[in-house]
Amino acid sequence: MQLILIIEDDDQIARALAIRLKANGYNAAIAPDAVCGASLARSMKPDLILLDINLPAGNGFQLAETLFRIPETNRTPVIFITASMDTNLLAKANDSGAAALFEKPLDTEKLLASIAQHIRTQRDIASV
Amino acid sequence: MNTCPEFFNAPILIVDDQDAIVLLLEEMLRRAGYVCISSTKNPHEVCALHRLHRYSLIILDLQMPGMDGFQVMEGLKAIETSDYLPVMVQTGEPVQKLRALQNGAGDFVSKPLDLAEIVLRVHNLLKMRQLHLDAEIRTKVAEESAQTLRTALQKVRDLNREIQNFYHTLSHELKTPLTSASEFVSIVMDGLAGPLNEPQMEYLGIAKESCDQLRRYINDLLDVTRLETGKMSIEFQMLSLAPLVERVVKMLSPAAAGKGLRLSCDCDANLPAVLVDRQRILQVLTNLTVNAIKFTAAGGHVRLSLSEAPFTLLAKPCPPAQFVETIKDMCGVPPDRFRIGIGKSARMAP
Repeated sequence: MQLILIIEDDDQIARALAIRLKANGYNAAIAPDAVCGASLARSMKPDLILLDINLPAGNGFQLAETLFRIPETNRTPVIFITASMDTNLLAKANDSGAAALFEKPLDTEKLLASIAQHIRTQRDIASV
Repeated sequence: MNTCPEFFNAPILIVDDQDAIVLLLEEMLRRAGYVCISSTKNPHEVCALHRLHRYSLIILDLQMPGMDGFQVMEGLKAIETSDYLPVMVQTGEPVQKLRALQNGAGDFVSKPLDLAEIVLRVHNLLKMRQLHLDAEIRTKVAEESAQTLRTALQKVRDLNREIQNFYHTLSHELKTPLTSASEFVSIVMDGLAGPLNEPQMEYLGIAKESCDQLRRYINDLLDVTRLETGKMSIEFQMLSLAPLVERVVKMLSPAAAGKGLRLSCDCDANLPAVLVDRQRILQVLTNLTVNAIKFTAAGGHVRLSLSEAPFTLLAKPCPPAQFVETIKDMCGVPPDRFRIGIGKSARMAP
């Protein structure tokens, strides 16, 4: 079963995401801030990370940069989620190497499709 | 001569080494009505006196022993902050007159003195001095007003930025709880918390729809902020408008039916593609159609038509000339090739 790490400071949103992911056959873990997120990502080696941009203890972009540098997580797809979407953010997310960017309130169907696709792509790459 | 009483209070200094001339000028000016007249025979003390009394006029002899009038004028220039020197020279030599004027003197009188002429010239010089001071004051007031306006403008800009930041933060703060509300409603509706009966499903559907509506309102709020900060981005692409119009009609048909209205579209399928931002044009069409639905009485008919028509038929509120030029410049479609018309049975809307 694939593991998805949710790094999100709003515990209700994190919980809702976890329920949704479990219902779709994933394991889900939750980290409420950037420090905790980095440490869990390192120890659990998730298949994909859902990363909120506005986080306590460092923002999502900084954390993503760190994650892409660590050997344990440098190939893990990262999907950003944010409540304050603007075009700058979209460009920044693209530049950061993130797999996708989703705006809150989330379009759950599209998010699940994107998660499935990126996990599949990553698995294909790994098998080659 | 049209002068107010204060005019004659103007302090005047007579500088001449000859007692007779000083007395003559004093007497003449007194008779003309001037009341604040002083004199000195010592050119060395003129600058000190002027610094102290700030004379409105100094009648200055050019030829004096020890220090001539030109040297006195140089000293006065250092005192006067403006380039205007309140000095009238008296001289018998024509060459000196010109030199004095070039050195900043306001006027001159020739020796031997013509008394009537002196009175007139004194009056004129004092008048000029007054106008000069008035102009200075006005300039100062105008500069102050301009500065006040600049400060006010800056304040408005700062305030505007604060308001925009506030809206941005507000919409962010609103979206977070909305996301969780919307997610949990969806989770329950999808049966992830157990089976639901029909009324439960219906009521949650209403809650979900309200969440969606709230999300749209928050996005509108953000759009306004983006428009005001110039951060609204437009992504142009060549598109056929007909599918977009049809999509809007399909999307809003339930709303129209709920109000007892007929909503239809009439699209000419052979229209050329145009350069538009897909999301924005959808937003415009949706807003216009929602408005048309809102303001049409039950039993009415809201009709969206897309056809070729001269651009002069466009409604006034959107600037047709600019719009036409934009379209023409960017996609090569002649400016009068198409028109988006949204009409309803009661009256034609833009």
